[in-house]
Amino acid sequence: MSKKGFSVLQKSVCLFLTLALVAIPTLASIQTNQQPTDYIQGAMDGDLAAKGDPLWLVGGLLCGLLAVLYCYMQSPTPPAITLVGKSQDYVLGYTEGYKKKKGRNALYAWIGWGSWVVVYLVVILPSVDTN
Amino acid sequence: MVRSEERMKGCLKFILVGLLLVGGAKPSAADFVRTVSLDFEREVIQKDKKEKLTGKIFYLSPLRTIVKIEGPIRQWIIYEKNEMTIYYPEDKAAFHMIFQYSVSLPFFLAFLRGLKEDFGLSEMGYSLLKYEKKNSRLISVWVPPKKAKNIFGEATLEYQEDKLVRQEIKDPQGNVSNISVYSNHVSFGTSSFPMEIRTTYASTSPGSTEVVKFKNAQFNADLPSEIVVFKIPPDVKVREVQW
Repeated sequence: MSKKGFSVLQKSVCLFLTLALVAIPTLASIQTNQQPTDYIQGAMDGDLAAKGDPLWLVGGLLCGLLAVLYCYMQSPTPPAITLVGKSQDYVLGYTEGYKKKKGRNALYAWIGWGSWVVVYLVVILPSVDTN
Repeated sequence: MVRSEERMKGCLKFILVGLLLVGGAKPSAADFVRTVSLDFEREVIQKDKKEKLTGKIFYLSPLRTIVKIEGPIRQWIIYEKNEMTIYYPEDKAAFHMIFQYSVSLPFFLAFLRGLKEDFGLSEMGYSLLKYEKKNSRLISVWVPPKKAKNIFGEATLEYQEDKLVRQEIKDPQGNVSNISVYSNHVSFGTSSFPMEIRTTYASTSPGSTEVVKFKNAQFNADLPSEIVVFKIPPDVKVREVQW
């Protein structure tokens, strides 16, 4: 490739990168702005209400995998009053945000069970007399 | 003097126990309330934020409640056992949700508890711990069932002239969770229903207050036919919500 051709190629690449750096954030902002405000508020409120219950740590510790399984089987539900007087978009956002609660409860149960396994392997098992 | 005081206390206990027993033998007010309809206005004040809700409530015994929200948005909410349906008539859209427990509008449940002798606490498994008379009020303290002691704390009810005027709920740690003040009672049969409920939340939402005002309460009146046979129109898109 000649020097002139290479210079043209360099300039094209630079122009492309510059345009890309400008276009990507703009596109992202347009996408966010298209989401209704009520939906975003609902999703945030649902996410906030979906904080996991630390009691599942105890459940995982005491009941092991049974607690984890039970966690996935049951469906936590939010207070019914939360959605009263709210728009359709808010309800949609809230229900999406709240769905994370089951997973968060399960995470606590997994940690509880995992802690029991670690204690067993590190403390209990070595102390067992194999003779 | 000591003996006569002891005799008086003994008499008072006997009378109170007797009244409780007799009260229990009467037919419950819930047995003869078939329908309730009333208007409501609910305002929640939290820090510098205010939320207002207005509408009408229609109750069909025993487990169906239909709420017509008129502001800030037009919405119908149908509660039936553990199912809730939210319907937007203008958007022709609805959500159907199933809960783990029986659901209804909490402030309307507080209104309906006037139907129960002890505000429904015994039905929920609560036991009476103690009672006393202070000034003109009868104060009773209730403890939750053993299996729920990690979830619920003590409940204190204050009655004045057979009307519930104050309720205090504590959390399992003994901290006050919320205090409700009931006023402007209306009577139906042997029951009294508060037309204003003012609740302050201490531990769950610090500084938040909910004020609910009811009006035009009607008991056992014929409800509009659109309420009695209410069904979501077939052309409405119903979204099933899975939690």
